[in-house]
Amino acid sequence: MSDALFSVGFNVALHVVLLPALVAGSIMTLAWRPWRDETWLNDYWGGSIGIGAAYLVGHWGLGGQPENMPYLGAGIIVIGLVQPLLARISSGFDWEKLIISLAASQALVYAVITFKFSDSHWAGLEAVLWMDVLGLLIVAADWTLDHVARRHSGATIPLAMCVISIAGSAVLVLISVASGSELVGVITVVASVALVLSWWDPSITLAKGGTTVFTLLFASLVLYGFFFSYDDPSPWVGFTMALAPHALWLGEIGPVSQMEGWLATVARVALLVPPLAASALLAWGL
Amino acid sequence: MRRSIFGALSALLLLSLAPATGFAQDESEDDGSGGAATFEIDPAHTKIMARADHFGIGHAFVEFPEVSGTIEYNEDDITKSSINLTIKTGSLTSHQKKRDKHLKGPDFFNAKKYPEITFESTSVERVDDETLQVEGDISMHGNTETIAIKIKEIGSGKGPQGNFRRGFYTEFEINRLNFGIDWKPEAVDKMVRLILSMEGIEK
Repeated sequence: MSDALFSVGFNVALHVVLLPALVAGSIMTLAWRPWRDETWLNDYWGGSIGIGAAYLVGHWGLGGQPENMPYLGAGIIVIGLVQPLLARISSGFDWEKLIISLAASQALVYAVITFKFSDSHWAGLEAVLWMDVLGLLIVAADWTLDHVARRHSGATIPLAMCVISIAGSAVLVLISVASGSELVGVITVVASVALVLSWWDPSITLAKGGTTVFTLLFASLVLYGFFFSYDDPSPWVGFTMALAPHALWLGEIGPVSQMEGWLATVARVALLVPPLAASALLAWGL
Repeated sequence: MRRSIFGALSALLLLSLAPATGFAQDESEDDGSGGAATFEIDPAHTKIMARADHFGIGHAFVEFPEVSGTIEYNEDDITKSSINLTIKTGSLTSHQKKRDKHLKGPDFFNAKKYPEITFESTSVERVDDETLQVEGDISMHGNTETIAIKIKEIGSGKGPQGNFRRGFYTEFEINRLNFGIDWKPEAVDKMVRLILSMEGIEK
């Protein structure tokens, strides 16, 4: 193996896998303390900071686009931390969360693909519509993941995040954005850490913050890759991926809802595969 | 005898007048206007290439066919000369479609976000009869770096269409990390050699 190839492999192993896993594992373990006998549902910050900090470590090592991603990542962590605080002080429908999510999502869309919001691309009403549609898709995905996480603690959402991020990583490679694929790979590793911890303690959850950080980070990377790729992927690649998380609701009805244990977890997450596979196949050019 | 002498003299006379009539084979004589002149870059006779090491095994080349610009050339005072080039980033080609899309995408040149690469000279000095020392700013991928390069004057003269031309050539290296193009320097070396061969047509 040439020195260069070894260097590439080592860099990926270190910054995509080892360091993010170490950071996420440390933070999540500290937050959730899975060795405790009693359940500990109040430390939602573990998901937000664990996912966000681990991602920032990976991005620091790998570099990559968008250039402002580290700042966006820090802001996303703050938003993730705000969610559980609002959950403590508000009751009933999470209007505050919805408003914050909408504002954050639209600001994120603008920050990530600023160049599209110009006279030569989207201007006026078209720009507003794009920002609203993309922001709503992000908010809806976060809302679904958060509410499924609240219904099902443990492995469901971490496993779902693994599957979604693997698909996102594959799509980014297929549309010639390898750096974005690596960065999404960091998120996959972090979700895997949460998955391992959830097997240890099935009471832990990524609700109220963790799903928000995951969704916003993932959306940023996919949006950037999608709009800057010279492969000019079909919009259906993005739409199928954005709508995929909602397939989890099919697990709340019918035969899957009657299942229990790990079988139920796998069955629910398997519902994500068809739309994500469709997204990948479309990116491949089929 | 008289016809043969007359024919020989006529031939000699015609040959001596050939340069004035434009039938001369040698077009490299400098019969430009002298003083200051503006030359527009001729894309058909200009080649801009980038070369980088690939995994330390071989070289990878990229061409940038869409280039425009001007060269202000002042024969009397070379320090008043200047070079301005604009390259369309999205025009790059390595003659491999999939690789071209990768190079134009966010991992490398990010051509949608940074559609142009520009060079603007800030000073020009003569080193010797054939060489110029040029300092200027390269702007690429949202970053600007000042470089100092030696440009060789290949030649000058009237082209086939009768227009006056000047040709230049240079090679120099840049560090792509300085321009924020930092993906996988282990795979594609950070030091990139730029090769420019330019012809300008006097306006």
